Amino acid sequence: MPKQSIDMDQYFINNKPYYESVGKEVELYEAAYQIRLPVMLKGPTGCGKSRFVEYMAHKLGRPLITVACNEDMMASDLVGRFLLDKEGTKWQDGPLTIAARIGAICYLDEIVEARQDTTVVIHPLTDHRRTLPLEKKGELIEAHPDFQMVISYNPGYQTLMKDLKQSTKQRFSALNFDYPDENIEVRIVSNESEVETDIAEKLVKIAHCVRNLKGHGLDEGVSTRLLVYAGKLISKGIEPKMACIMSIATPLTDDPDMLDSLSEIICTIFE
Amino acid sequence: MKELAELKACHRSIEFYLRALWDTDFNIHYIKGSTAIPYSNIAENQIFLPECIPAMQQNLNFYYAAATHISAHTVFGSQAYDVKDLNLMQRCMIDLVEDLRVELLASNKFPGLRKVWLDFHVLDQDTSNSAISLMKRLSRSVLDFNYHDSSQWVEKGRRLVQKNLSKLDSKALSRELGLSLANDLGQMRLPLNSGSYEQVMPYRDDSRHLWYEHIEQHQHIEIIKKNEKASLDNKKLVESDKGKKVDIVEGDFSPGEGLYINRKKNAVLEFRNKKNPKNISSISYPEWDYRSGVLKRNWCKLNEKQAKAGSIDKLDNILSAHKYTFNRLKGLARKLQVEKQQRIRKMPEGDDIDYAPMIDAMISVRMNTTPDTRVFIRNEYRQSKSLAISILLDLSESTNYMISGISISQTLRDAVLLLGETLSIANEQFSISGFSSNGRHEINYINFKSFTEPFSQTKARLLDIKGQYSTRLGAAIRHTAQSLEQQNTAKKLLLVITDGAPSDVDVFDNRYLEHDSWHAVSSLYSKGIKPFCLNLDSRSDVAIEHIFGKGRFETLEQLNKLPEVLSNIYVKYGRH
Repeated sequence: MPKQSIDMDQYFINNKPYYESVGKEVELYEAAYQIRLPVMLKGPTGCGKSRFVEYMAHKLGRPLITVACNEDMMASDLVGRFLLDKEGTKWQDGPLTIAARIGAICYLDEIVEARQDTTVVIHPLTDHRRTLPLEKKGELIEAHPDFQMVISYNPGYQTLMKDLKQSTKQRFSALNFDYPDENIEVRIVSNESEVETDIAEKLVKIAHCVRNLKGHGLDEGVSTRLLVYAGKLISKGIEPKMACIMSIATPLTDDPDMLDSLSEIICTIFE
Repeated sequence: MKELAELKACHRSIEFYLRALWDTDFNIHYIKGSTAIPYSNIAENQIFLPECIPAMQQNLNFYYAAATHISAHTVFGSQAYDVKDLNLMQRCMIDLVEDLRVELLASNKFPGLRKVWLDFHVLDQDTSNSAISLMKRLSRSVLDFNYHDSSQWVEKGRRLVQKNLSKLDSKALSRELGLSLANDLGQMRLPLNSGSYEQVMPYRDDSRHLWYEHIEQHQHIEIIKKNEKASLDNKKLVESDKGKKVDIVEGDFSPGEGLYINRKKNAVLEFRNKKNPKNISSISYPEWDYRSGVLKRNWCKLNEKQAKAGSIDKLDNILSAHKYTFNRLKGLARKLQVEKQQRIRKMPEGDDIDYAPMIDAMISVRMNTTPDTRVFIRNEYRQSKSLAISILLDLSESTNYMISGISISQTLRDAVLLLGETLSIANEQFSISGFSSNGRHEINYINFKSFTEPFSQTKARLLDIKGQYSTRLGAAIRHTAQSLEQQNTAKKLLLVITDGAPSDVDVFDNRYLEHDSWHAVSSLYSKGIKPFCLNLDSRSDVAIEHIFGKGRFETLEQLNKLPEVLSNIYVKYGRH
């Protein structure tokens, strides 16, 4: 069988991603990477988990392979499978296998979305063994010395039905993420969406009001990502109230009463 | 017909809005049946707004203006004054300045609120210098930077407020400025036309929270409540006054810490010889004697009776008090219904091709071996009759114990009501029962809902939840298991909620009932029933763990989390 050649370049992050550090997470991640400790990133949606991984991959100069997990994902989607071609069968490495071979950072985004029996395939790669057995192929891959495993999940109310096994959780060191402090969030929003600081301040104020509603009618508060979307629309010349209704109120809820009060909050802050 | 704007059209939105602004929950109530628009009022976080208003009053914006104004009073606090020292004019002026003070503070935080209120500060053509007209104009001139009034008094008032902007946090400011302005108005010999208290802006409240005469009555009720609570807190609760006493040790309990049951060590096994006095039809159950290793036949008498139904209105109040939790649980129940849909892989026929087995099959074909033809995926609904749950409540005397002013049994009632609603939305089969015991001849088993009855018709019985006597757990588990065993479902869950280890008046050996309960629980597995216990008292963890086994119980840390914890247990242990 001809040896598969992997184009590593495609996995490198070429441009430095914008990331505002909120605590000591950069330092902690670097230390974890030095000893190749698997890392789990916990936090609500849109608070900067994926951006952080991109930033760290760029900072450390490692390729990054991201997999968005979903319910239909099978172990072979991660590890690889035999495919048929005219000459016979051909092994196709999955993203996890590629990462282990080339020494990339493998990032499994929203890991709880995958079924628990799928996620166990990462176990041998995340403990002292650092190996990946390809049973169908009869091959045991020793992970590249630079390989690191990173997973993320949102420990919200929905994790009640979809939770990680203890045996998976306890293979990772973990960093807790949350929405950044007011000043940092204003900086992020104005930087990312190129709006004036006073607009960014108002957007963050809306966010703080909306986040008060978490668990009181909303399952989740508004993410920094949505604030950036609103800011981008505003910088494109859209009227602030309309931009906020489009990118903050409407995506968050289907409840007409809640939509009314979110619109009212937006009108209160953007007079 | 007069067109009306109704509060019910924006009731929920306003509650959400206030929560978002102040990070505090406010409940909105209706002021019903009045021809004139009544002023809104507030008592703590309960806001009372008129049920309907003439539609010309800026429609529903009126309610937003009224609710934000009145909530600002709560958020920025007010100092109550004694009416006796003040004349009507002084009262009105203090009210006005206090209203302006909280509106300025609120609009400093949210400048957009200024506009919400200013929409109602439309000045009519009345340029006469009546007291009410001047007060309206002062109100407007303070809030509206672009407005300037010709009256010297209004200008003076505006300047006075502007000068004191840095002191807005001081609650005494309203009295100081109010008296000064009232004095000026008095010198101008401008009386209040109606001769009675008048609010200048209809959206503002009647300021009753500002005056002792109105709040005294409310406080009186509060004091009575506090005294009741205090006397209950000091009471030493005893599970029974005969036989063995199980003392509740006094101490500084933080909410949810539960009770400490002081069990006497090295007690001897002893039984009280008491016949069932009422001789009502009862069912006999055996009991396990760990000392002799014998299952004593027909040892306990259990009397089953149905709980009395209470008022449905009261249930609605409970549900509205827990509205956010309830909404979340409803969402959860709906999600669980979706969860019932399952993708079944490796089927001989189905909706979709499952490509992993298909590739394997094709490989087999190429290799000239027999392929596995099960290459399809099928979407199927799980059988709806997959789960039956029996909820068994310990209703012993100790559940009357008050934690943070609410009895355990009351919290239990609310939590079971919410769980029942969740289960009925998720279309599950379930039963609810409770028990207490007064010796082995008198185990009271109260049926709140059987498997065959719909929850909607039985939920009012939950109001009958009350604590008495002791906790003889074994017989109650055996009795519940009988009906649960008969359910034709793949999974059966017995959920016991207790606030302590088993005990009874005629048993002096603590381990006796613990062993008997363990025996009853052990026999469940052979019947296909999974037991689980929610323990409300962390100090009885050792006994509960012995009875139910490791991983088959959970201890509640905070009593107010009970509704959510119960539903979590259902999802965790019932569904998976």
